[in-house]
Amino acid sequence: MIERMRWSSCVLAACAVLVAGCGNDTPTAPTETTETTVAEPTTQEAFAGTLPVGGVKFYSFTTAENGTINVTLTDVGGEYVPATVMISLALGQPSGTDCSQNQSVTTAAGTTAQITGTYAPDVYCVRVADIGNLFAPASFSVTVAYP
Amino acid sequence: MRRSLFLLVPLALVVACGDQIPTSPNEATTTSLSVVFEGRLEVGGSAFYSFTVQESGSLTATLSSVSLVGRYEALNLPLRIGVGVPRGESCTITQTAEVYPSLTRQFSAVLEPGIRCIAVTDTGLLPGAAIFSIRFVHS
Repeated sequence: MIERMRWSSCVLAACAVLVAGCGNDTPTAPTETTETTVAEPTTQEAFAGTLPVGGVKFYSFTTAENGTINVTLTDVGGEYVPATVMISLALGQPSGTDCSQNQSVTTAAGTTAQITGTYAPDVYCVRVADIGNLFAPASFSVTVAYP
Repeated sequence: MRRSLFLLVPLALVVACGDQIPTSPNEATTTSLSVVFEGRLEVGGSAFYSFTVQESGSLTATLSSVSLVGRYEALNLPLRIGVGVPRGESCTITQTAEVYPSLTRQFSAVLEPGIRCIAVTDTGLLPGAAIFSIRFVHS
C-alpha cells in the first residue's frame, strides 16, 4: 500500500513538472540589433506661393533613403501681412486632396528649421495653412531639405 | 501493469507538449480601394487625389460626370485622366488617357505599392469651371 502511494505521488509530481513545462511558447523578438543609418539631408527644395485667407497649400517630395527631413518656413509677407504672423507648418504624407500631418507647428518665419525628424524613404509633403491670423493673402517661402 | 499505466500518463503529457508552431492564417487578405473623387476643375486647371497602394494591382477609373458649376446639364467633353506620384504641387503622371464621361470604366493602369495619385486635367475644351466625379477602384 505504501509503495503504491509512493508511486502515485511520484507520478503526480512528474505530471505537475511536465504541465508546468508546457507553458506558452510565445515567440520572443530576436535580440539581434540592426543598425539603421540616418542620412543627412542632401537635397533642398523651395516651396513658395501665396496662401489665401483660410487657405491651405502643400508640396510633395520623395526621399530616397532613411534620414533627416528639415522644414523651414523662411518667409511670410505681403500687404497687410506682418512678418511675425503665425501660420501652421506641417510635415506629412499626401492623402486624398490634402497632406496628412505627422508633425505640425504654429510658427512665424525663421532661419532655423521649425520641423525636423527622421523618416523612412517614401513620399512626403510639407503643408502651410492659415489658422485664422491672416487678413489678406500672404506670400510664403518654405525650404525642405531631405536625403 | 498498474505501474505501466502510471508511467503512461507522464508520457502522454510529454507528447501533448508538442511544437506549438504558429500556422499562417488561412483567411484571404485582399486590400481593395474604392474611392469617389469629386471636385472643381478650373478652365485649364487640374486636380489630383493621393492614395496609398498596399499591394501591386490594377486600377480602373470611370469619369462618371462633368457639369459646369451651377448647372445640372451633363457636359459631354473629354478630360484627361492620369495616374502617377505626388510631386511638388501636383501629380507627376506616368500614364494618361483622354476620356469622355461615361458609366463604364475608361481607364486602367497597373500600380506598384506606394503613395500614388490620380489626376484630372482640362484638355482645353472646358467653357467654364466644372464639377467632375471620378470613381476609381484598385484591387
